[in-house]
Amino acid sequence: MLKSMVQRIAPDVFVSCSSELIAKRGEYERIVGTAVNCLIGPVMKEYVEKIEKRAASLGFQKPLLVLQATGGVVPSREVVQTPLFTIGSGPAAGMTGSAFLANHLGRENAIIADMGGTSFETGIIYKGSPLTASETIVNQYIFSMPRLDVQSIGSGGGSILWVDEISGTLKVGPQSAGADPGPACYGKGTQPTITDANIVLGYLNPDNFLGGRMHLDKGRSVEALLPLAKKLGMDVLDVAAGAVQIVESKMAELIRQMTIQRGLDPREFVIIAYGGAGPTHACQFARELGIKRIVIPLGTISAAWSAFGTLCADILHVYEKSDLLSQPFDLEHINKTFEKLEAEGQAQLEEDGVAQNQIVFERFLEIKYKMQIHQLTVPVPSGHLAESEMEQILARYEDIYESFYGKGSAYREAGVEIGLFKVNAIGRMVKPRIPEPVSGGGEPLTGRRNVTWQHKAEPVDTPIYTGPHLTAGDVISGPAIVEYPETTIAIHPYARGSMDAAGNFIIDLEGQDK
Amino acid sequence: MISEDGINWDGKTYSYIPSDPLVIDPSLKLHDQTEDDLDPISFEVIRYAMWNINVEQGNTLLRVSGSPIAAYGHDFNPCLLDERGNFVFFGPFLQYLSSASGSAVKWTLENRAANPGIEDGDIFLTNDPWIGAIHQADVCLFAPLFWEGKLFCWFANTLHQWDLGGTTPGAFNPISENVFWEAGCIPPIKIVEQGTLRKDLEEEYIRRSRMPDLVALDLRAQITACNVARERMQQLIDKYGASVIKGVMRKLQDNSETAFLKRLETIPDGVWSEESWIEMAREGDRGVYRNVVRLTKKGDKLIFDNDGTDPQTGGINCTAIAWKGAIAAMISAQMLFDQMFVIEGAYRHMEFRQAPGTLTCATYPAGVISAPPTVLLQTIGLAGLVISRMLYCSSDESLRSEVQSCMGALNFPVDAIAGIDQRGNQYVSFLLDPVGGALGALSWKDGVNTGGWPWDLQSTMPNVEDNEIFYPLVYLWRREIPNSGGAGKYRGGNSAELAYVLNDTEALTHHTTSGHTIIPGPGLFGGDPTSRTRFILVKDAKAREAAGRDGRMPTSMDELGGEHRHISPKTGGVVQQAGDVFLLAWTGAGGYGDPLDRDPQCVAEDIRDGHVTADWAEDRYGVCLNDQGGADAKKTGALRKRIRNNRLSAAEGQMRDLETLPEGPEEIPVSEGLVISTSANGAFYVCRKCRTVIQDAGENYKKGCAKRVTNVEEVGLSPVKPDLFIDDKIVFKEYFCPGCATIFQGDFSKEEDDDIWDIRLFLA
Repeated sequence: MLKSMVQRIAPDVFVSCSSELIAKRGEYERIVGTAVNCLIGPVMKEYVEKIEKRAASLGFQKPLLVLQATGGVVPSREVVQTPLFTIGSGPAAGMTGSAFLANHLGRENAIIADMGGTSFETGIIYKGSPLTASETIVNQYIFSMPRLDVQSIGSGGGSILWVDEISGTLKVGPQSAGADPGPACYGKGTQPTITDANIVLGYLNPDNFLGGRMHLDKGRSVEALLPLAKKLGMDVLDVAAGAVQIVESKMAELIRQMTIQRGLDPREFVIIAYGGAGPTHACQFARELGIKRIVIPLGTISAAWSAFGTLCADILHVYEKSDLLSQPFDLEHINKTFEKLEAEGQAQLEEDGVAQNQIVFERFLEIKYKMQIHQLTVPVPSGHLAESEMEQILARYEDIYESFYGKGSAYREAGVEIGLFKVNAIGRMVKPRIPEPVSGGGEPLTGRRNVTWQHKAEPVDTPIYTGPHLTAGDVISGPAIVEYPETTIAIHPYARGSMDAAGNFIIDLEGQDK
Repeated sequence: MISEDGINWDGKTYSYIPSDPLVIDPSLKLHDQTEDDLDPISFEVIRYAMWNINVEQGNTLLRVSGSPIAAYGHDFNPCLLDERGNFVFFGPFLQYLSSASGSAVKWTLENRAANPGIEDGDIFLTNDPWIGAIHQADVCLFAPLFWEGKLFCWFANTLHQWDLGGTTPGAFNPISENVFWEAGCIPPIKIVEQGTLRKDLEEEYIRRSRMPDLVALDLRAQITACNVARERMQQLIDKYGASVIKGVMRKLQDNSETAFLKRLETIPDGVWSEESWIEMAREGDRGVYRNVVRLTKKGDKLIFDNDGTDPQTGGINCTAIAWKGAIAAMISAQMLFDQMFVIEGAYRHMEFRQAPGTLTCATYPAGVISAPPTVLLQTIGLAGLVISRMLYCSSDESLRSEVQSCMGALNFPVDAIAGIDQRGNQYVSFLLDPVGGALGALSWKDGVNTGGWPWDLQSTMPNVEDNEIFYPLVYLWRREIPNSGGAGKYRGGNSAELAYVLNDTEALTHHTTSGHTIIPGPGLFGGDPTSRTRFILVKDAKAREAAGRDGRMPTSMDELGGEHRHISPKTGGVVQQAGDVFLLAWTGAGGYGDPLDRDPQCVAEDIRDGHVTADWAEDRYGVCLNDQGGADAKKTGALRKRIRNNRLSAAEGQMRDLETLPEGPEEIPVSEGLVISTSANGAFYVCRKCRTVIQDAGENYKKGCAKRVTNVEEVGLSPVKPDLFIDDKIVFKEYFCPGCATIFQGDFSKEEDDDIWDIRLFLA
């Protein structure tokens, strides 16, 4: 009513209703989310219209689909109403692509590790599906929205190294030199960064950065690290190796929090590493977590991994409804609520033009003990729920609860409550086909240089391979460096690399001493 | 420990103070091997991992408990302690709980090592405020970790419980006369024995509660948190070796000590003092009670005492352990902000000399359960102020930027509610909305409105919608209170208020516990005092009828009919019925510096943004607006001049010939308005604005000021007639520069009391 009133009085004003945007309890998060939606609404509208116009002029006749933070896509006419849900969709695309790749590799469980210039981002694919979150924090603002759970720390190639005067110890970040002035070796700034450390250690080739399009100045890296070395009473190589070790242990810590703290065993996962610096550091944090295999998506799809991820996405609408139900549960009410949410999804997907046989629904309940705040998401079978199924759902809840919090932590005497209904309405889309890798030909082994593989270790004369010259089936024993135009893979002495038939680079740590 | 005056501080009558060194049964072996030659890389990696272990302990507690008290009140804190119970980390949650966990562990080492023994897999529980708790509702669980048969370190976590029995429901008791009226004290018991939860002790523990199932759930949360942390630490030791880990623990403590000492070096020796008042020790009482925090800095020592604090009474007292925690919370926030709160380094240079039998050093069996929302929070506020006064004298600019006025949360207005909820279940709880506390002004910027708690970095206010689901309430409003932040050169943060009616229930019972309903908290350096806490019950408000009549919810007290009753800050059982409205308002923060020194444009912006009203701006800031809503320079100048004249004409004190002293080379700024200037004739307090000599530096500067005395009910926002709740006559004393009328300080005290001596430097 209010919305139509505003639209009548001021037809050009962007109006967003929290009840339509996020039908969840919690007025603070709703208001913030709705305000952010209004803030970016007009910009998004203009942007999408521009793309549509251009696409049409190029002869594109299908509806334009836009990626959401859920990892799914929706038609552009919806996005201009709910631009909020695109926040964080970039990393979500990487997750969607990785979920597709994991499936292609026959792996149910994967950890994504995306390291760029300013941050390290990670997410979890468990039993084939990316794990989700329901809250987003931008600066100090928290709002509710369904999204894939991608978490990040400020550890990237540009993270600045410094010495804490009081403790006399080396610190890395969270300040970043970014791309401008960038690492000292870029020739502008003088602050030492992780990229400088990687140059000094020999991981990165100063003459082959971005495929040789940019020359890095190793001398400047050394110069930037020298004052730290003096303060710490160490040599430059040790400072560089130490900084890298600190960053890698922080990454391992974040992944630990994402897995072990949720009752997941990282040893049952593969790492999918990408981003400019991800493949350079993956070996060490994989080893720290006991993970046996790293996959680096490569070949023709690597350079645009997120774009590729977008192609893997299905149409996805998420419907949520807050409700507080106590035991004994009113089954009729539960069934009706799910049916209503699914009917909304059905109508929406039909409007999107999805064929009936491509429509799938996933149901969830968020459940908690009485008087608790935190709810756990429990999958719910489709169709009309009977008493016995409700009992199974509660048993499932307690299983999940105990896997999160430990055996014996569940306590049904406290009473169980349902707090939220959630339905994913999915329109299955055609998936891309992974093309055969094309070898660039030429000799893979193209040089040697000294690489320092560990803190306090002597540099080792290490073979350098040119990635695009590799062909499927090639095996490279560590220590070795494989250089690609966009990234550099560091294969530590305890690891072994190979290229699979799809053009992915695989690093195995299995059987190596820990 | 037995002190020089023969008092046995053993945790029975007097709070426990550990022996130095600890006296531990020799059958218990401690691991104290340290690797001293740590490389700076391993140190950083292990430090980061250890911090995360402790955070993980806290997050586990938060998630498993999931109670609103944990989620919004953040009334919990995990910590990691070394083998002797010294702090390594205590988590980024409720900081004042720290002193208690260390004390609990040390007491247990001294008293439980032989019988029943301390072994691997054990977890102990205590809620005894004389041993290891802030008050009985804060239950501390703590677990040793053993390495090769030796006690390596401890994990401890404290969590506030809904109800552990006593004569009133909930975690506070406004009718308490002594500890026997309250939830019982449990000295450390071994609730988990070598990995097994003892059923008998669990039942004994939860039996006392009105909400045993929730207490049982929280107990599991606390045990799980201990176990998670213990397991992680075990892995860390496996990886790096026990002596390396222990070396990192020691170095963390040493680093924080180094940082702390470096800061102390920038501060001249001296004494700083601050005091405030609590009304009513229990329901029916009509007294007011003085709480004093005094800080002496001598070389590398900070000595805190409570000299002048009133004797213990009712249920509002805190034990020496709680008092220490209150002070440590502010030391941590203001002086160790970059040391990840490793308080141990500071503890090595802090002494606590409190007089027993007082409000802030209660001896058994004084009532202590209501300390946190009253005397304890007030002590945190006062500690922040004495530390601020001291830091102002530092030569280190970064420390001076930590100087802050009094936070609004120098009391927590407990509105404990009990009854039958909309689902027909019994419940007991208290509203956590005042977690949105008003933050104090800094020496360079305004306080944040409803910004949270300064001693808890992650505090959040509950959503109204969540409260309406949890409890049988419907809010009429919850909003910021304009003018509630004390006026000053920098304005204190504004606080908020809420009003609600019942939903789907016949009645609910309120128990209130709070302070500052009559006497506001102090301002700093002449800033206005804090605002007041208010509980008002509107009988037969006819809110629903009003809403039905014109389709609009009432949005102010003026729109409500019925009888408006001020509810006292210690009430045991006021009943709200279906037609009644209950209002709860919490205190805004104190102001910083003379309000007449505030940039008029900032006042105009405050008016535009609704933080200050135009009439209040004229009255407190002397600022008039022009037609465009900006500050009118001419009118403002004239009004401010008039206010200054009024200050001096209304002031008492000798009208003497004023002398001035030109700016000298050796001056120590000691407050926003005063410097100590040294000349050939000696050292003097001098007004920084007009250079008027105020007083000899060895004397109380207030003796040389023009002084105005006003009755408490004529000061500040929303005053209440004092005789509603108290009998004493309290006045507000303002001290002005006799030359330029700048206000240096305003104090509340009994009429007959001498001027508070708030600063004295030991000049060489």
